[in-house]
Amino acid sequence: MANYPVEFILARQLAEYMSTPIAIVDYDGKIIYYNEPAEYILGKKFNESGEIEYREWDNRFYLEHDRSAPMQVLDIPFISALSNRIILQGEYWMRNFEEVDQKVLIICVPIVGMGHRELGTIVYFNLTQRTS
Amino acid sequence: MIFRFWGTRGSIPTFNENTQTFGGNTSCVTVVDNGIMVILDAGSGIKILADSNYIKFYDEFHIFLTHMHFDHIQGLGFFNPFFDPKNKITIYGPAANSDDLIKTLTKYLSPPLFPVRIRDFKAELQFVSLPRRNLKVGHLSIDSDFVIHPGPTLGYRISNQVSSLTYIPDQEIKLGANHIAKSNEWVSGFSLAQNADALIHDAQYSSEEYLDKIGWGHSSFQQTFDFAKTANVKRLYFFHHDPMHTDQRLQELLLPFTVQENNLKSYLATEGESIELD
Repeated sequence: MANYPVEFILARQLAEYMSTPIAIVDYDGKIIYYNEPAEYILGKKFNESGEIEYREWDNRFYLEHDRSAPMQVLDIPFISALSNRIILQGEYWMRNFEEVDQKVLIICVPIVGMGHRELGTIVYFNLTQRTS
Repeated sequence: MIFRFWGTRGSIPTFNENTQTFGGNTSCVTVVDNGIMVILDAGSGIKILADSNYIKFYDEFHIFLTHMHFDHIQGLGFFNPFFDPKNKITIYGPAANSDDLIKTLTKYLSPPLFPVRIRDFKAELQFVSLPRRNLKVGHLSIDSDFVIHPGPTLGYRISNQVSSLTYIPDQEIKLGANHIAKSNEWVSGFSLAQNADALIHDAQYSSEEYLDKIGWGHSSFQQTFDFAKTANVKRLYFFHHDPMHTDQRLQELLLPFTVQENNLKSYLATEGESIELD
């Protein structure tokens, strides 16, 4: 079994101590960890969900002005923050795993590790509106 | 595969009547297998190696540095084979963000810290930045990966067809190991150590001492033992002995771990000792 890069291990350690909702997304768009504050936003406990593959959380985001057209994860900052090596943010509507619609501000910080290895993204969530 | 300890002490060379058994030189271990010599770290122990007959029949050396802290490179300038033009020496080490490996080493191997510059070495030199999977040195396979320690730091796993040795001299497992019982994927260094025939691992502190030194980059005996047990290691060598630990104190610290558990046998790394695997 291959262990995660040390940058992910330390990021998770930080996230576990934070009250800010945080998820760690790997290079392929898989959520490999999210902390307890993020469980409310995602609508699932991490202990129950485990890692969430890209295809399981794809199409859960959409722009405020067009809820009829779900976006692919690839079109929102999770992946482009890493590929462009820049911090990106955006505000989206998101339908969580309990099928609750909520407006979230998302800030994506690329994890480019030692030796300039592109590893993944730390995602900060800020819930701004919830429909139910 | 035979490995030998030339330096086992952490932080600073420590020589007195209380370090005679387990040694006072800083990190250096050799691995020899079918005509290939690999040198792990260049602490003051590499000077003892350089002065020995052990290197007499070699003209090719592979020096794998785990990181650039002084106790792991301080012997480099005293390794005599650098000054013989018939030798071919490759130095491997961690890639850093700003400087490449040769630039980082030049900071130490140049005035005012050292009188001789790398360019004055006579041997044919090559520098290789790591980590990398499945690097080959002759028939040996060498895996490397970053581990938890201040500054870029590598661990290594050296394997031949039948046995494997893992070397992680500096690592603070506990900083990332709240999850050790939940999932080994989240344990730094785990894949390097998994099912290794022998693991040489940092055990600088007692459990009590660790509490005052969280974040300093080292592990306790208990943490290292738990890590080795989880990784299904066969032989564990507690390494990087604290400069304040006397021979007697080290034996006391080993005592709770001398009972064989899960086929795991535990030892104190001892300067001058050779161990044959296979």
